[in-house]
Amino acid sequence: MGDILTGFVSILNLPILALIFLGVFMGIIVGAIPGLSVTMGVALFLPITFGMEPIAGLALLCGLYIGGTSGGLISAILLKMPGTASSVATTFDGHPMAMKGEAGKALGIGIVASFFGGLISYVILMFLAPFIARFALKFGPYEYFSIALFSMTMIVSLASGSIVKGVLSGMLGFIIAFVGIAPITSFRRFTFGISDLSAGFSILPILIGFFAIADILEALENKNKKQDLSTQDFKIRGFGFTRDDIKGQGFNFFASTLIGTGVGILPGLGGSICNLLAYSVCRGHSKYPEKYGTGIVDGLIASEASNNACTGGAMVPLLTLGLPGDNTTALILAGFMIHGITPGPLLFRTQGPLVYGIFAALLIANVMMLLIEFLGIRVFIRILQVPKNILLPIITVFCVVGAYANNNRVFDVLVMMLFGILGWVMKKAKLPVAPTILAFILCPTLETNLRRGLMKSQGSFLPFLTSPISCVFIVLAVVMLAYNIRKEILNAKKA
Amino acid sequence: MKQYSDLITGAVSLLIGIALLAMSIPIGIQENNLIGAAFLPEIVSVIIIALSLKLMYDGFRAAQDYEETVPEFVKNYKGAAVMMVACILYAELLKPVGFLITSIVFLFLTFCLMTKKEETNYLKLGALTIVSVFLIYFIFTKFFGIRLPAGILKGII
Repeated sequence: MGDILTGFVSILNLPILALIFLGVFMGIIVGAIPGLSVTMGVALFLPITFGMEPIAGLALLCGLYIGGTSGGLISAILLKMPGTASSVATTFDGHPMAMKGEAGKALGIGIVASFFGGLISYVILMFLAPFIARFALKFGPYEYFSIALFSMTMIVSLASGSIVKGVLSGMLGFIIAFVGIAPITSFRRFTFGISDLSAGFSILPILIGFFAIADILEALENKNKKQDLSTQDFKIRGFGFTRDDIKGQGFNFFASTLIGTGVGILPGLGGSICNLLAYSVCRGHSKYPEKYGTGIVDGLIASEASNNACTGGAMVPLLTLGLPGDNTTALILAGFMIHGITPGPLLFRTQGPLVYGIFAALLIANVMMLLIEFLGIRVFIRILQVPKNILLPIITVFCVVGAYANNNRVFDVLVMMLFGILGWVMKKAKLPVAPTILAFILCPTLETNLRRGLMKSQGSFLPFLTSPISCVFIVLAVVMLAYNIRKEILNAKKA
Repeated sequence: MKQYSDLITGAVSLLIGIALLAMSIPIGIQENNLIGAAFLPEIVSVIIIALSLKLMYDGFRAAQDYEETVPEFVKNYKGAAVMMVACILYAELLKPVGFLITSIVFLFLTFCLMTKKEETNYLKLGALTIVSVFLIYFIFTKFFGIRLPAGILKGII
């Protein structure tokens, strides 16, 4: 308890609070611009932290991490373009809400869900971090493979309409992920002699292509369609929603928060999948799954509560084991190292006040995120007043810069454009894009751990079933798949 | 054509599945490792082939029951095709020509493509293009410190 108080006291001074504010503010901007990632934001500010006190520098990075993760919801809701990979699922219901004239409500609910999702995960982090980390350490290739396999079965839930098409889209995601150097053996595959393909495809250009470019092509195709020119009412009170709007969302919220925290704890999975996973789970358990994707608050809460909860989860292995869960936490780890601090099991004992100072910084950054975004709602929604024929082309140029800046490669811009065309073709063929993204993100984890596991067991699949944790997830995956196939057959019979 | 949509999607997927399998088998032989780089691609290719056949079968049945509907509006496929070519050219010319020039051309073209003819004011769109591109350039280079390709303007900007 003493360490907790010392931690809070260490950051409760004006310069550090100002740094957290700056971090959150910049993070929201970086997260909201399609193409700019949280990782990029943290990378830009990392050198600045070198000359600061450890707690000041790390508080700034925490602010960036939280602001950036949450900021993605703004462009996801208003423009149907996820600012970050962790807000992909926010587009599914957030944007339809904005199109129905409920942009303020969608932003308000998204912000509040992000805040509480983050808050709960930081409380879990504060009290249970060492215990959870010890449990997560027990996970080996069998367990990671089974979790990835279970997550893959979510593709079926994300495939609205046809399971066959959904799974085919997922397989396309696998093909995209296969390109480049194969895990474990480092064998170069499907590169066709193009050196730029050796490193494989980055998630960001693919995301921007699938969402932004495909949307522009669709808007051009439908140019002759009669548009609804009625202006939206931008007057909103408070957060833009009432208690009735979120009535009955308790289970949805807590399940998504726990999924986000859980996925965040497991190194390698990260925020990119937790929003899709939480969305699929909530949709699967919903009494009205057919309404998901039409603009209901359930889907929005699932996505936003989980992605911010993931930030707290991701700090668990980072602080307790020194293992970064994703690229952003890897940079935060670098932030520790430039101050000569090595995160790990001894950190809580040797640097107690610093650790609890970080916890306090996370909590304060979360509150600042809520305040900044609350004040910003009225400004953000004005973007919907800009005509689409002006807004979309300007966003395309933003996307080009974002894709290029990701790795300073013009090749990524070409990838973005080509995936935009692919996304448009997929829309025409009624192939859902979400399973492709989920499979692309999960494929490296699935393949690496499948091959590592089989090498460990000398080709036997049995240990995947004899490991208790792995067995549970495999059984869950099979049940999930069977349940969805049965549902599809029944629906087909009804039709 | 619309009634054959699933049939065509299935056929294209089938070709992709066969191509993936054909490219994966030599990797397996080259690596001489059963659980190597070809292991998962082979499994995925088999799944794709099986699902494609199912989709083709469903598509064939759906095509027989298909009823033509009158479209609400005329689709602008020509505009979409021009945009696709513009996107690829933009990406290809970004490095040799530079961000500023390619972006100005691309943005102006996209504005013109997306604006209805009766509402097009070239002067206004031109001014908006130049202001937008220079603003984006300024924000990213000065504020975020990102170096964008200068192309033929190297040494000038």
